[in-house]
Amino acid sequence: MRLSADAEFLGTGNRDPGFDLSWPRRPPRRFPRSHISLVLVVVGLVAVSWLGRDTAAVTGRVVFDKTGLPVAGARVGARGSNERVQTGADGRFRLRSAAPSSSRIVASKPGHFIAGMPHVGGVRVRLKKYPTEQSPDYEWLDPGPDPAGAENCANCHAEIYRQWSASSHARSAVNRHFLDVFYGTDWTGRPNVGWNFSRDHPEARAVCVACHVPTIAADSSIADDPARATGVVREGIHCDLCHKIAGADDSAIGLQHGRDALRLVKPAGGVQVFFGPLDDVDRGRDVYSPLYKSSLYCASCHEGTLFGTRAYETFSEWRASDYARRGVECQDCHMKPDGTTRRIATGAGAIDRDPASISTHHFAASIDESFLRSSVEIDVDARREKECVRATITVRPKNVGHCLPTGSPDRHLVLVVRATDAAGAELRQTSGLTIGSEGGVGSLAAGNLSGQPGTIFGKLLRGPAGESPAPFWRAVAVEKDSRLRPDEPAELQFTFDRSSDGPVRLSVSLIYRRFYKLTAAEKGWPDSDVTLAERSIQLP
Amino acid sequence: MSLNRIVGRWLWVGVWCVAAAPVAAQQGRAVQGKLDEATYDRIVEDFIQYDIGNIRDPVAIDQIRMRFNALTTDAAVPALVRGLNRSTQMRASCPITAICSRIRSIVNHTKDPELGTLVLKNLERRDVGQYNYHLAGVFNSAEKAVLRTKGAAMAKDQFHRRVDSDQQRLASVPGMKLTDLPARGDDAQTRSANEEASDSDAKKPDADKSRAGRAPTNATAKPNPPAPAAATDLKKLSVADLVKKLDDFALQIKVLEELYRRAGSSDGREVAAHADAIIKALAEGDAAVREVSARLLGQLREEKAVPQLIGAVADSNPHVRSAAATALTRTTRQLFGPNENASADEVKQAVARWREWWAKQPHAER
Repeated sequence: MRLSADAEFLGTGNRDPGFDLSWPRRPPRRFPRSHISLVLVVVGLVAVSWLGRDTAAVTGRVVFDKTGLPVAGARVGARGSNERVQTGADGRFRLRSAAPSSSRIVASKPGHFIAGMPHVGGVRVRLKKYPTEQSPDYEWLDPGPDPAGAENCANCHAEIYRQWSASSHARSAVNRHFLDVFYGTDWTGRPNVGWNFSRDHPEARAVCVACHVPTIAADSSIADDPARATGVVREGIHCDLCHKIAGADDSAIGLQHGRDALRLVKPAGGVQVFFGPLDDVDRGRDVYSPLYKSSLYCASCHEGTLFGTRAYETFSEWRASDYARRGVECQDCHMKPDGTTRRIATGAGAIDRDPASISTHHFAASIDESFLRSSVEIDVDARREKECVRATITVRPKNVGHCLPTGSPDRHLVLVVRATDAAGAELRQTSGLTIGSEGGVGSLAAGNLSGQPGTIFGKLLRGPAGESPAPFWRAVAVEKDSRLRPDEPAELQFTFDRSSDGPVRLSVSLIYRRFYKLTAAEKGWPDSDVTLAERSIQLP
Repeated sequence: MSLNRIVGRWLWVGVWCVAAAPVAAQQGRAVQGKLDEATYDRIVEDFIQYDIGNIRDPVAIDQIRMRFNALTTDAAVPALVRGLNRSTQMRASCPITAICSRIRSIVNHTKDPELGTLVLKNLERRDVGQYNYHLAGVFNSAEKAVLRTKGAAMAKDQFHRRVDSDQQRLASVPGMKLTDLPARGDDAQTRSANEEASDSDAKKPDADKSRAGRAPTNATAKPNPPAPAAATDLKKLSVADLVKKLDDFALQIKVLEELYRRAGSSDGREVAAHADAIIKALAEGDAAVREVSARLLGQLREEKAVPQLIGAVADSNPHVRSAAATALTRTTRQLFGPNENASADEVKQAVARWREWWAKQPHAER
């Protein structure tokens, strides 16, 4: 039986007509070269697609702890990484970038603790609500190091505690200038010397306490008596207070002060809640809050209209500046990462982070002289003319998103210009500004600069009897406000009589003072001038 | 509760039960008798894993904690020490704290003359940041246990070895005085510590109370100093009486800790009035004493301690260095470091910066 005609055709088949059971064979055909290249292209495409497949992607779901229902709009990422995605309406998410299997996937949403799960297979993160109560029995955590204390901040956050210790926040309750003005004492403790807030406004002492000693219990017998504060309360604006702020009221900025404008969470029963700017700390006690990167966070203490006077205007100065429009917040300059700190805590649980992501906590400000010096520069352009020496001095604020100086209305800068001949004798000023009496009246050697060529950049308040400087709680008017505006250099012209032909030396210095000379002298404060910039030019 | 969660939880329990079957079988004996070393190790290891967050199931956690809490006998100490070494190696602060506390509670009550020595020989000295203080506490407890159970000789020798090394270290620090360190051969310190231990064992509160306030002002000068008050009584003493007890080697750390607590209270000014005694403790104490003294001076923001604190920034012990740097910053508001992980060069630079800055201060005591 023939099963195949091909066998005969090829001459290889079984010619036995009855038992030819061989399988029919196809004739060998040459594979076209064009097909080989096509196959190679297809194989290549498959390989490329396989190699580039999304092996690193992490998928999962975020649900509410109590109900198991999906959480829409939760913020999700791998701990320590930068990528963040939001969950969809079904609570699902997909992270694109690689996440090592050892890392944890963390999720957060307003009103809930940060939660996390190990990155193993499909991730299901459960979000739990944090308590919102304000227990009057809450005991503030001690910021200082003490191994005997279970929750002392510095036990784990030693470096951050050290930075904070250098800040003005750490001394807000014990600052001697504040206490002297508050109680009317002088540097040696003598009572009834100079400015005395308690005498003028005994009923309003709690206003100061709201910012300076914010954790003093409002109903305690020492609620308006900061000198009697002890323990954690005496630590001023401390870790636990700052990290208990759930929200800030922006409806009455400047009218509510310190703690009164802040929504604090003080849970009862030993439960803890800590708010902060990191969204991947999933110990079960931490809450991610973008407020911590916002200037609004600082506003309640750094903006204040008090007794009818806009005493503290830093927040509104910033808000009116180009810095606010560009999104440069207070924290960007005053909590700028030092570039060396890698961990926010010691011990297990903390991870190495990008040093550029860890904010410093010493709140660089006017107390930090190098920081202060970096905020301003002066240029001097001077030339000799036929009968005079003419100087153009430019004072330029650098990277300052508010007036310079700002904060306490008594802070001011003094520009002092001196022109001397070869023998060191002062040349007579023929035009330009001179320093007013607020620069200090009396001997020049004692730092009294009234009448000297120069000017003062500051806010000067006038009291009811026409006296100035006046404390903000007695002020009836702002006598003048000549502070430097953000990014607005001040250009000043001075001329000096050229009485001789010898060389002339022009010296310019810019001095920072915390209080006006009269106030500081009255209180006996050992304040020293801080020289921010100096220029000296020799004219032939 | 979702099905997924229920299944997950019971799966965990199942896995744990199978894995821990040998432990479970001997659970009854865990409290009463001695288990084998591997079982103790397993209990401690499970606790560490739970404590660092690797075990999340509440049922399993209950079991683990129950077994760990049952470790109250001397036989558990070797495993606890091994576990503590592992914890310090991974810088896991929570298990460090818990295991240190457990070892101390066992060692403080042991009658086994070898147990303290075992801890001293096997516990590794490792840098664990702020938690090194807990580690130091274990060493102190172990030394006291040796003192109590083996007599004064060995502990005295260890004390003097420590003092010798401190003397060498302090000799290189300008401004440090070593004149009041106890001389070798004077066993007043050890006798005092012995009496404290025997007192606390005997639990004679009335006797302790009657002795309160009569502690020696200089332990080296008194041949038969009265035993100090038990540690719990320190809270009842006035600041002046506490300061007098600073000379008692056995009580130094507890006294300083109590003063630290008082410094933040209404007693703060009174504590500050005794700053000289605390500065002396900073200059002359052992590492743990120096660390607490520096912390206390920082709490007081005591400006006259600045030169001694700058000296302590060069201390050989990183925790003393860190405490001194923090105290200096708290006092002066300057941030010259060094931070915790500073290299030897960075420490030198920090000391130089502190000295340079202090020398420029008009009120600097030189």
